[in-house]
Amino acid sequence: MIVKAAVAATLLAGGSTAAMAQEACELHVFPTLEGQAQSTGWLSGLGVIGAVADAAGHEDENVSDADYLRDALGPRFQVEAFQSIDLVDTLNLPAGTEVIYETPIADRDITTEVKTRLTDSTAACYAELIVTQNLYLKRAIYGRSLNNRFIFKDFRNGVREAEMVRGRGGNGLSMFPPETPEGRSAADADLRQAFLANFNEYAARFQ
Amino acid sequence: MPHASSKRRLAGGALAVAGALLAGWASPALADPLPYLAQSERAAEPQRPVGALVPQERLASSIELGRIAFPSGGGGALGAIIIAGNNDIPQRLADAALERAEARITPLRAALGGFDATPLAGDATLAAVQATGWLGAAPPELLTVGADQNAEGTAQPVLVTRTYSIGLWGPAPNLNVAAETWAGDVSAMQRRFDDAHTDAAERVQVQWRYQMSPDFSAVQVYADVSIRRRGAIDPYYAQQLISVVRLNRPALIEEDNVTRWAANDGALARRALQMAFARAGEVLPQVLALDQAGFTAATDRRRETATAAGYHGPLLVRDDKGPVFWAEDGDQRLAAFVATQTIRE
Repeated sequence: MIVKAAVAATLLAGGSTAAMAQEACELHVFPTLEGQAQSTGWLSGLGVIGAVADAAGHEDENVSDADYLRDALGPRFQVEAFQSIDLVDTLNLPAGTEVIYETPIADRDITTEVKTRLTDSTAACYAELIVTQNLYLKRAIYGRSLNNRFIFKDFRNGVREAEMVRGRGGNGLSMFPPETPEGRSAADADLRQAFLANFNEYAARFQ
Repeated sequence: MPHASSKRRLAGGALAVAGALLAGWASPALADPLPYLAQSERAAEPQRPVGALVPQERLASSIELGRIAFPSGGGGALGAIIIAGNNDIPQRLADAALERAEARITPLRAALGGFDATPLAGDATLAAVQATGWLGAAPPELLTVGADQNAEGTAQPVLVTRTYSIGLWGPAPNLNVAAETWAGDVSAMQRRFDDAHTDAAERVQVQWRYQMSPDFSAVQVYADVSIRRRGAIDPYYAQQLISVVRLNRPALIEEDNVTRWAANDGALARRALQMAFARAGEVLPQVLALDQAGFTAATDRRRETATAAGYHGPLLVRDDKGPVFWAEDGDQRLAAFVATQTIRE
């Protein structure tokens, strides 16, 4: 029955998108290991002395925020965030595309420069989504925000070296970093909603 | 009035000039060791002594920090210099990451019990020397950490991958106490080897390191091969091979990968270490065989490339065990041949 349905679907499929869906399309997603944090205050604008004092005053904050971010928005949570949305539809890929989550590649020269495939897959219908930045900023004027950068590589139609569709998203945070241990779950949820908002900003171009 | 981007360019230019001046002061011009040897340089009479250095007795953990944000956006060039000099964020992050990695690796170390990979390193060195007739004398001498224990008897290095951040003047090592301890132990071992061969005109050293990858998806075995002349601290030839054995479909959760490696008294980890060392022994002769033309061709970016286990670069050879390729990354100070294999339960 299933085979018959598949054959019928193949016969009925007229468009190239539908045909590719029959070829078991693959989207390989590479989360990032990064967790950068930079906090600056009013002093950073007051010349050398102010900037030095500001950096020293925020050092503990930068360390704890970067450490926390690397943990709270590590590869596992990026994947969970992506799993909570229809990634295939958001990237306008053929329905039925299999989403395969890969372990992160630390080397930025690979993730941001290599135009060939980053896996051994030989699927004809193949694409990659790479998260390349995970940066928390705290500014005296603009407040707190999460900034992410993404790259999409589309290898469909026989492409061997894909164009790298680069982009970013940045959205405000209200609960991160948590002020108490009890605030951790709210802070994590805050991070994740910002991460998805950033991705949606980036992915709007595919709609 | 200069445009904002012009200001940034000016500031960037001033930083670059200051950086170049400081870099000039900090590092005297030293000839980098060659990554290949000409045919005419290979034979040595009498044969070079070969030392296989294994400065660890247990599987190490490693860390990966990625980029680290510079802690300020103001203060101009002078402010940046002062802030960079006082910035110990990379070290603090490295210490925290190492603490987590050491906690995660504990069940695997327990499962491995007293498993010592030192004989595997000895076998791999012997295989490489025997297949490379000109390199040096066989069998190689095996130097282990036991003889280098310090007065407190604690010279068991907890080593880390030296990760690098983009510092003010470019890449800067995230050195921490563990990394410095490791470097000290290696130096002591090297001195011992030198002292035993004061009459040798040249010496070959194969320094081994075996560790889990930062995400615990792979076992990594590093072989640093170098040749030094008598009286010289720095080698005139140096090459690195990283032999990686990766889990089939690893998890994104480090603890899940550790559970797989540790099952059945660490059976998978033991097999992976054996595979990784043996592969290194097989591949090193191919790397050592490269002369200048061979090395240039092997590292040409226009060659067919391979991507595996987080590395990427021009393919040297691919066989039924997996690819061997050249990987280079300025951020990580990586310049090595990488051999990857996949392991399944």
